[in-house]
Amino acid sequence: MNSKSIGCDLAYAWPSAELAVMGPDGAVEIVYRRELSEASDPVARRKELVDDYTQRYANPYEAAERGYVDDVIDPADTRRVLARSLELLASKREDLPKRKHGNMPL
Amino acid sequence: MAQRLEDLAARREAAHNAGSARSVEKHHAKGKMTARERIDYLLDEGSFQELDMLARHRAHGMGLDANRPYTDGVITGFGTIDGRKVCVFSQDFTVFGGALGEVFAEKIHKVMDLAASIGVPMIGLNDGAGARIQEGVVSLHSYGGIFHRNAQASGVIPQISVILGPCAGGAVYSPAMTDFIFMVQNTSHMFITGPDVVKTVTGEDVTLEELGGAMSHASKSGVAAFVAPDEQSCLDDVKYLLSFLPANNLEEPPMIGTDDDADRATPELADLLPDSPNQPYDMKKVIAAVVDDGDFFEVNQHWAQNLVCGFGRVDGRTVGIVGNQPQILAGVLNIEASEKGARFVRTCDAFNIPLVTFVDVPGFMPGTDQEYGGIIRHGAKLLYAYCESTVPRVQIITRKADGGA
Repeated sequence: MNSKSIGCDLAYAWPSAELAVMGPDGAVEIVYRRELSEASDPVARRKELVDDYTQRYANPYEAAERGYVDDVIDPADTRRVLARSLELLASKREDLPKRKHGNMPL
Repeated sequence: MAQRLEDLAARREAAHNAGSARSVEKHHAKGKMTARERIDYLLDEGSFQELDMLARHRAHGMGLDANRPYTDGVITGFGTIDGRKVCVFSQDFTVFGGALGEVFAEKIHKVMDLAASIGVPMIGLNDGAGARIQEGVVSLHSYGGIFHRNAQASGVIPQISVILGPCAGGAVYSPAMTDFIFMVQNTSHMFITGPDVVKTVTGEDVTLEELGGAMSHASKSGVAAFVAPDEQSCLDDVKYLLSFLPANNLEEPPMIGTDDDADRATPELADLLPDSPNQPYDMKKVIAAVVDDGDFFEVNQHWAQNLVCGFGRVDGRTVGIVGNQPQILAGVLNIEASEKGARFVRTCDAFNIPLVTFVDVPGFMPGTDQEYGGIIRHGAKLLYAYCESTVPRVQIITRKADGGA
């Protein structure tokens, strides 16, 4: 959905954002499948791993560190930030390579 | 000269009454406006300049030459909406049932060429029986001329189709090639073949309304981008849509001033988000909080509701907004949502409308239904559309931005 890597000009995240390959439960289930099956208390261990994943990945700061999002903003500032960004980008000019037309999947 | 003016007035009078009083009465009884009443309602008062009012068919088959009404069943011309130029055609159901013959089509071709050459929106008011059987292959050939022009004008000028009566068979494809289709509940119908043929071919029992009614196309097929309860509100919606669009692909959308402060804080958004990441909230509330005066005009409101698309303004500037809707299917991207989003993104890109995307997406929908239906192909449309678009693009990630989505 319009990430910077596919050409978004300015990307912002709320602090509630979670940028990851998948949600914590699914990720832990896949990455730690063996460990969980062998754990003496799988429920407790799963919770531990989910909490750890959530803390490490389910946030916008990993992405902010790398510039994949341009800023993490307070939701209260959303309109202001949008208005400024759109004003800035109004003069954007970008051309696609010259060709008859692309061959998008239809 | 006076005599000649009288003669002209008589011809104009005849053109204004091309449909018989009886058919106009029947038309009104269905709650429908006539072709001219629709134009009068849609355009700024007194702005309409008609073209080819005195055109008449020159066909001979099946006794057609005995009846040669002026207009040939379609009113065409130009005028203004909110002071901005538009071209329009309006099919007249009271003349030959609005069926398309050679001259009827030539009039449409001419006004479409005019719209494309001057760069103004082309609005088609459709209310007709399809090809005029008496004119045979000529009618079919004439349809081709419309389709070809639809494709040539696509992405150059906004093309808007309003369905205000029957629109069946080949006649559906010109609207389908345009940018937006509007339909009215209970009076407009679109289908390739009607209920009788469906019954004969597949044995399926289906009513006219279920098969091709406004709500079927608004909620099931996605054909109708907008649906309204009556003709007046439908035409009001057309005007509203035009207020967001530029006249052509070389112009910027109109700026519309607002008292809504661009720096207005939106603290309500923090409260809107539930504590648990798996609880839904209404993305439309997020959108309404951010746009000018809370005005948001949703496209395909009843279809693929897990993805919200529509137009609004931020500080007077038109934006196309796309947002995942956590309230429906957790906001997952499936085949329909992908198609809806891709189409909307491309429409905005074609008409220089900046894109604002609110992201809260758990990923693409899993399962055989989706895989066999081609979620890979359809999902790629959305991705491709974003990758290809060159308009300003701003993204706000509210919550989940998971996976390939």
